[in-house]
Amino acid sequence: MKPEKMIENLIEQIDVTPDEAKHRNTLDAMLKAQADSEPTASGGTHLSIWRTIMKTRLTQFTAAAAVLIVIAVVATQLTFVTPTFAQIVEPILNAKTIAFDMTIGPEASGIVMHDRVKGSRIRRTVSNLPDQVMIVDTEGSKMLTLVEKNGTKTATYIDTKGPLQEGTKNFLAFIREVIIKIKDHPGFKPTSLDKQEIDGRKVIGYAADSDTEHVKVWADAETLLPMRVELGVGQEAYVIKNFEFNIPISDEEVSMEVPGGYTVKQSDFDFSNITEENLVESLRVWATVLLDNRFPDKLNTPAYMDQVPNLEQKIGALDIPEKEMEQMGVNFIQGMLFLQSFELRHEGPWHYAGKGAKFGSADTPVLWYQPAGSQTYRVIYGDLTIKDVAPEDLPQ
Amino acid sequence: MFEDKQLIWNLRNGSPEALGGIYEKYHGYLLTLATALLNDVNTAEDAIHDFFVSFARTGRTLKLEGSLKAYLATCVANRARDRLRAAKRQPAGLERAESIGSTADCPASTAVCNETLRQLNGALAQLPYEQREVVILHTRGRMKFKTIAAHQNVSTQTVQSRYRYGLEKLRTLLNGQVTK
Repeated sequence: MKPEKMIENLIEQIDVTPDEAKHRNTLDAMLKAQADSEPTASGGTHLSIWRTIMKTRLTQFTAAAAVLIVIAVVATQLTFVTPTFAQIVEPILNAKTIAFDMTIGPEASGIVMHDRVKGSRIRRTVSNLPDQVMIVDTEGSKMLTLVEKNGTKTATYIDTKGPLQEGTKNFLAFIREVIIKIKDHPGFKPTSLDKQEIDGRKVIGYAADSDTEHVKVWADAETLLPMRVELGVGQEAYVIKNFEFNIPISDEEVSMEVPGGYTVKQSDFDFSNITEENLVESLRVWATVLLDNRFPDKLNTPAYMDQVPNLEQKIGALDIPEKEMEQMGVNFIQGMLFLQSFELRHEGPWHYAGKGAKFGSADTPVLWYQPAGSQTYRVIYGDLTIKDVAPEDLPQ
Repeated sequence: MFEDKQLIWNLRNGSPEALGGIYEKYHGYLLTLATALLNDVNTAEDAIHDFFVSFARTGRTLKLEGSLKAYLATCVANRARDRLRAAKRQPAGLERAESIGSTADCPASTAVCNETLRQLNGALAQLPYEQREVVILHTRGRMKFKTIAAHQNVSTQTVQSRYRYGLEKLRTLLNGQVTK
């Protein structure tokens, strides 16, 4: 072995045993520093009550939003997987189980969903919802959320019928169906990307684009197993990686039966009819509750999901009845769902122009979109009024 | 990576468990880096203590663009550099040499192995600080040259050169001692 390599090996072996007393001292000082820096809760008891009531309900909505994201992936695969891709998607076709991480938004700072998929069932955890596990039954259009927080265990069934139902039939089966269907369709040729390294492994990649979608798929150059998928759907961006195929996933992991010790609740949330009104009310929450009478710089899934923890605090600090608090939280998340479903339906273009806009400004267009089949656009202004506007009269 | 994301999210929400989790997960790694950089276990422990207390105060506002591990390593390297600057001296030597050992199975006896590591630490202490930092952060810290380059505010090529020069000098200093 070369001397330099030996030196590297030696350096790798350096290890220091912490002094136990100092270790404990640092831990105590650190936790005290964190406690001292805690912001004072202005909501007091009110906030505590709010948190108890809302935490589960809000996160249930966020979980449902994650289900929609799955539809986005599937829909994009429908558009882009091509025969030249066949070898790379082969593991997806044949895998009995799959696990992967999906980052929503910027890779370094986005929210990460970890999915373990077996047949039509998905076991999902989300990085900003650490107390929660979701089991999605895509075939039965149901979702079971298991929340364990502060010693309390709550299980909730959510009905995902409506817009979610069609897109989430049988996850693996649906992907396979799509891939097989287009295997014989030679019309689309993706671009082969230069070889490069990801996580120390040589990879090959393909890119494909359309007006609204962009996808890059990277696979291990030796095994041809998919390693990374970069996906842009409209104004949303996702990275899917850390794929594992045919890993053991027990039936218990994806069971829709509630484990022992959980209190079961039936959710009355309705996902079947999310409307423009939800979006408008969501914008109202952004401007009047989360921000100081202004609209957010960005309006997309990462921006919404990033605000879920803040939402609890901000709404909880308001002096309004709990029922109104709850409705406000629900409106906020439904607004996100509206935008997501709008993207997924591939309806006409939409544009958000709210950066810097003040709430209440009747002359400032904040967002506009073209509903399916409509000749005109719906323009939402800073005072949250809406007008139908011809394409040629849209804001520049 | 996924676990780290969760820890960061919880930390930003003021979770003491997340803070404790990050500490438990990376404390040993960071202490080893700091000790190798400062060549003094006690000073390294003080640096780690100061860093984690500061980290605890600002955890709610943490905005991370890269990996948590690389971020922590970079912060500790900064602390180490500040301490060396403040002391305005090169480190004098190990005060608790007995606490430095091997993480791996040593083919020879532990005593021989630890003696070699002590010689290595002595040699590392003789490297110019920038070279030592690159060698330790890359080899023991498993940080990419690109990340170290951003930390040192120099080009990746410069960092790679520092690494080569550092290893070459170590080889010369340890000539005859690293022959297994």
